[in-house]
Amino acid sequence: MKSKKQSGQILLIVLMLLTTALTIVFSTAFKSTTDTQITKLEQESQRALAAAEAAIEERLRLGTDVVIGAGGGQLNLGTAMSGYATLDTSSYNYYISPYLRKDDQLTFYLVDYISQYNTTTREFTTGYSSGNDIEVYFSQNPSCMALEFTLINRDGTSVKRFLANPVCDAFISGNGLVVSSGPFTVNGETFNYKVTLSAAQLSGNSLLIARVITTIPTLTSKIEFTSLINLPSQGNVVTGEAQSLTGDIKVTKEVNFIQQYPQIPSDFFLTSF
Amino acid sequence: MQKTRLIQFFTQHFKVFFVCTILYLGVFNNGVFARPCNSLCTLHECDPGLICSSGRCRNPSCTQDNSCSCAYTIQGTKVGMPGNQSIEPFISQTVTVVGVGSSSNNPYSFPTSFDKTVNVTIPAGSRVGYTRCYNNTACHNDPPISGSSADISAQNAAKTASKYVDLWWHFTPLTPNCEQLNWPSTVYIGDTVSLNTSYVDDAGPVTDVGLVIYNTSIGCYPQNPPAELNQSVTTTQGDRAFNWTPSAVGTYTAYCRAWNDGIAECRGDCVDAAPRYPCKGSDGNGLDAKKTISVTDPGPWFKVKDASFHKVGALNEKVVNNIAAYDADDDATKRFVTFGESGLTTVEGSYNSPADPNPVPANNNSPVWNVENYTMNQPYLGSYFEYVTSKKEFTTISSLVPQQNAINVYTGNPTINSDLPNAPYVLIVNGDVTIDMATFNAAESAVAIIADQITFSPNTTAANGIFIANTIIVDDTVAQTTGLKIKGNLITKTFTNSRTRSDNTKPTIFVVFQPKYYIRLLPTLNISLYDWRQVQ
Repeated sequence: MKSKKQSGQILLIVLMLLTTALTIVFSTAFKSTTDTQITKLEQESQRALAAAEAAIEERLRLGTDVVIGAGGGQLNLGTAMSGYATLDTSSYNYYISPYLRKDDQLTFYLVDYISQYNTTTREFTTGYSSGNDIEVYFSQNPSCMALEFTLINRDGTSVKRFLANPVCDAFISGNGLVVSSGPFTVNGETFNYKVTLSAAQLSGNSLLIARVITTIPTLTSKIEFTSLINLPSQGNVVTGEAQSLTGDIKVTKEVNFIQQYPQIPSDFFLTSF
Repeated sequence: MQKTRLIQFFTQHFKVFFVCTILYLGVFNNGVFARPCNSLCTLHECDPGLICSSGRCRNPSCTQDNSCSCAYTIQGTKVGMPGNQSIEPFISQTVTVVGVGSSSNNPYSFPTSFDKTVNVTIPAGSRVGYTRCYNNTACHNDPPISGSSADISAQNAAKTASKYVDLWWHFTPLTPNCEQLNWPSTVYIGDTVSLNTSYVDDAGPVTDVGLVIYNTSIGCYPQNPPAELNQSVTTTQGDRAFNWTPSAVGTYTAYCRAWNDGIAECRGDCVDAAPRYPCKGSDGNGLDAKKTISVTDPGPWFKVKDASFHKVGALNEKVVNNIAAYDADDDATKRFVTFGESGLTTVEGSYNSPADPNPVPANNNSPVWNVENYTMNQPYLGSYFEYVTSKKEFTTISSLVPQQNAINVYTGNPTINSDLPNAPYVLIVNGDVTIDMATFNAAESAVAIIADQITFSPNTTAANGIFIANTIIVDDTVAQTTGLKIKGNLITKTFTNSRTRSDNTKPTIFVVFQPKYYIRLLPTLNISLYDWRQVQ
């Protein structure tokens, strides 16, 4: 016959085994849930990002602000997604170009293209008149490059040219503007060189075209323009934001899309034969 | 009695005296006791005409000659100085050995004997001296003895077995000297070249200086052809420049001239007779007292205004110094590849290498902006059709009537012989375009034509607009009086210019960059740049 003491021990052992088994089961279930949640988060992030981009594209197509949701005039992405795309009309005292390659050129607007370019006369109505210098930063490591500037006045009847030729670009004969050596970190971007275009040089001109000159075939670099006052907009900036609303998971993505105002490619601007 | 004795005394002594005299004359003087040439002797034993010299009977004129004949040879050469040159008119002067004969041979030779005098004739405008070596030829680099008459000593000439005297006559023209100072080898027709020359006193002083140029194929003296240039001025020694503007293509020879007035002249190496002589120059041979100059036509050239310019291939423009303006938009004082508001000049190959006679600077920036051996990225140049049709809004047209303010796409190989309507427009031709009219777009409306190939026919002298193509041809078959002017822009990777013009003081191709076309075509002739930035 078993004693009470022996039955108690068996019960204890069974309880311990049961506890262990339950722990294993519960932890496995928890990990599975977590993994599911992470996967779900990633999926929602992708959906939100795609939704934000879609909103931007819809904004560009319609030409008016877009709201993500059901109903007319909106971007219907289902009830689990909300957001918008709107034209960003903010202005800043700096502008950072996209990456430019060897022989690319950037058409920088010294006056607002939308309001100042007369589509009937096909001319600008005004030229630069802010009275402030513009500093141009260029050449990001490990590159070495020069910039050729072309200024065109509002009706295209005059042109002026300058060369910013840093010391590192000894392959170009001749000097031009005074180039300062950095490094310069401006608005999150670091550049090797800076040149100042004076208000007097810029006055009356509508376009400033900056052409990249370098012997490095793989060079890419941004150019940044800064001034004491806000610079004219250089393109359409559409901000798209989307928020995923699936269950308890809420993911928000925001994207800026910059469409530069018309760019004159150097291929079609440089006399060549 | 005394008288008889006296007579007997004198008679006896006279007999003795007479006998002694006979004995002396007969025995001791060519008598029984006389000695022949070269025989041993003491004092008076030698044959008549010989003397006893150093124990031998010798001819007194050549006591070293054991043949007693005093025979030897007078030989020599006539040369011009400096450098003992065998040149006329000196080598044909007449040498006379007095009492023997004369000869104008060179070298000359006279067998003779005993002492002699030798004379030589002197050409006008020169002087002469001589070097004289007895029984050797090693003295002729010594300074000559001045004079046209030389005495020859048989005593010296005949004393060795070789028996000769080597007598050289050294003639020196009494001329000044001249040499060219960096005269060019090539001159372009119509260019004025300054021929800087050095004139210096030499054997004669400088009294007048000059320069003469002949067409090389015609020659100079003795043909005495008309000279392309024949200038002179009275002056003393120093540097002087003479200007020459050639009027015809060809090969010419220029000679410097220097006078010693009334006495002699040196004239390159272009001479006929004394008293005109070749100039010595700097090396004594006169090679730099003349120079051959080639006059060439530089051919067609181009000029670009207000532009940044990329040259496909090498850049080696041949341009006359004295250029003329193409028209009112040009500037004849600007002899550059680009001028006006010119930017950087990049060259795919080398720049002015090898340097032409008249290398052209890249531009009038100060300092000049240029880069050679530069590879340009032009991704849109050959692919804009594909870019437009895939990314931009465009209009397809089936006839050459473009839509205004639009990108028009036409497929075919059109010939444009009248202005197209509805400017401003961008016309993209999927094919080859020929522009065949005197002035395309005379109204200077904003137009851009982009094609695989654009050909400007011989009839086209002006075209206004932006012309972009993989290949651009400026066609022509004969030299024109005008070139081709592009007002706008000209952009291509392959450029063929067949056009020439009769007046190469003006450019054949003249491109004037017009930024106004880019302003007016801004909404259409452009590319789009995008940038995405995720901010959250």
